[in-house]
Amino acid sequence: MKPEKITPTPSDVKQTRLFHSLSQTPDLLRDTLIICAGLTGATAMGWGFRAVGIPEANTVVIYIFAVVLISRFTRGYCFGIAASVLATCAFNFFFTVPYYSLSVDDLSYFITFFIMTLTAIIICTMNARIRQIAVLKQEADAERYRSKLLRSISHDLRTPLTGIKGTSEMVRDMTEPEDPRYAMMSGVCDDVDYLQGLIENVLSLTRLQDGQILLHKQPEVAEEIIGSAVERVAKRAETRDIDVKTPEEILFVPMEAHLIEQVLINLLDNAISHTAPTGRITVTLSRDSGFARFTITDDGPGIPAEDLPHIFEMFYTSASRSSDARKGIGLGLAICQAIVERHGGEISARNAGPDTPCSGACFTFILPLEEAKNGEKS
Amino acid sequence: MNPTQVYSETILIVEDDPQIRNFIAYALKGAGFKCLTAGTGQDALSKMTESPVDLMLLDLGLPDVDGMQVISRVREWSEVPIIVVSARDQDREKASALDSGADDYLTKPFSATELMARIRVAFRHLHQNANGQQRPPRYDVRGLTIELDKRQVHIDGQEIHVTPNEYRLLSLLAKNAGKVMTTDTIIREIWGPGYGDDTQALRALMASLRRKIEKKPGSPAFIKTEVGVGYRLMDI
Repeated sequence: MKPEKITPTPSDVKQTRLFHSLSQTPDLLRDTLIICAGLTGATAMGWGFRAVGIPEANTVVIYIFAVVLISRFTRGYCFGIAASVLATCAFNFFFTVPYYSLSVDDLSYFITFFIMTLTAIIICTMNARIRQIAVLKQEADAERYRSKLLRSISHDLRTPLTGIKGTSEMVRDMTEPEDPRYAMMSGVCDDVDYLQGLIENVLSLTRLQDGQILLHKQPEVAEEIIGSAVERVAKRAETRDIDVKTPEEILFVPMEAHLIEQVLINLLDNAISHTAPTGRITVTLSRDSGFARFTITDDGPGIPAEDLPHIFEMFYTSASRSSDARKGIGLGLAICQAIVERHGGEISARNAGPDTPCSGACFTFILPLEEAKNGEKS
Repeated sequence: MNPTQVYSETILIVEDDPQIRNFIAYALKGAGFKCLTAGTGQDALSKMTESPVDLMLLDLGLPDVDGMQVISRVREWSEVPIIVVSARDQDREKASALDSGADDYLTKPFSATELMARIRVAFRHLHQNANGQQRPPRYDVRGLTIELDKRQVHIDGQEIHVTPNEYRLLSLLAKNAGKVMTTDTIIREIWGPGYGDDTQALRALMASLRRKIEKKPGSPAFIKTEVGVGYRLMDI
């Protein structure tokens, strides 16, 4: 299982700076200033000690203390380690005979230098490690909290829907089809199904837009996901014929299965609502060099030319349809695009030409067959 | 749903939402079942001990105890069929409920038709086991026949050659026809317990088996994929 980090939010960027401090100029300046201030302070105190005759062993301790402080207030390992080395050099330069030179008369000072540098490096490494663990824990807590929140929202939305769906279907089945109440209850049932689809979409969208939530991609067999999606829309498809064409080759595609299933369900639902009850919908899976290509075509009227450039925009609904027709709030296709792009793929829409077997709309999306290597945490 | 058919079985509905509880109870009573209801896990466990229950419908999101605990507590002393009810995005919960002894699952929101279909499958299995009789050594649905004693697979009378692993997979599903088998269970049964949870090999095996028995592997008629959970061989 490879969780993929999705588009970083500002807080994300702030956290990753901890590990890439050198690439951030303002932080570099700040941390350099901290080093200068810390070491200057330690040197000043050392001079003070020498002036009042305190032995230089104490100055060593002062320098180590300065390094501890520096590693506490700078980010990452680099500054702490740099400070350790600089502190040893400064001690050598200012406080060992001969003064104001890096050369040493008494060779036993090398033991002091060595132990001083080592102690300082160990302390600042430990400091950095502790901070790193704290950040990781904070990230994990945030992720847990968000998943929990999303889960309770979805539970609270689905529970009443289950009651309404079950009850309305039962009431419908208890009335005779000639009874006007049958038609009314059928309307309720259709609305519930529509609402159910909408909730699934909104939940997927919330999940995708929350940059802190990781996608759990796993290699899935593409034809299984298609089969499952077709199965789930079968009831709504009624008499429409859904043909599935898959290649002989088994295509493993890294994906979060339910999200890609959602894309297919949305595209199939779209095709169903734009075709006659005798319509024909074709789902084709094929390999296209490094990608798996999913194509959904129908024999409906196709997409009006003026809608084609905007069809994946969120909240875009076609102007050409009558105002009382259910057209939704234009989320379905926008979510398809968001999901496909989060998987490193592309989605497009066009009208099938007269030479193709289906004359209506044609939606195509591609997903990479290999996990992208860059920019991902495993 | 056949309204004239009268069942004598008692079904315990464990669900904390009163609206869903009422709808299920109504649907089941309409089909002739006797119903008991419980709103909490504790209540469910005590109802189980008080009166005989033939099937349990268990919501996984109970207010007091984890649904998984209810399953393992019941499984300590009873083999009563358990059908769990959960949300679509709770794959892990579904799979572990099935692995810890639940027989089947329903995804919210579900219809009365789906509910009755699941209950019928569960009872069919129960009766086959209760009669002391093994499952018929034969699976025969819509032209696909599997002779479990002769290790033979036919499609429309024509023998199909399957590899030993494909046969293991197919016979495992056929012995549990109608029920969903989790990926973990299948992997353990075919490759043994030390194999871990590498699902890729199973998926590849399934794809090659489907190419032999399904006319269209992309919209399978016999072996359905339960995304995130496992596979189910249709028994009708």
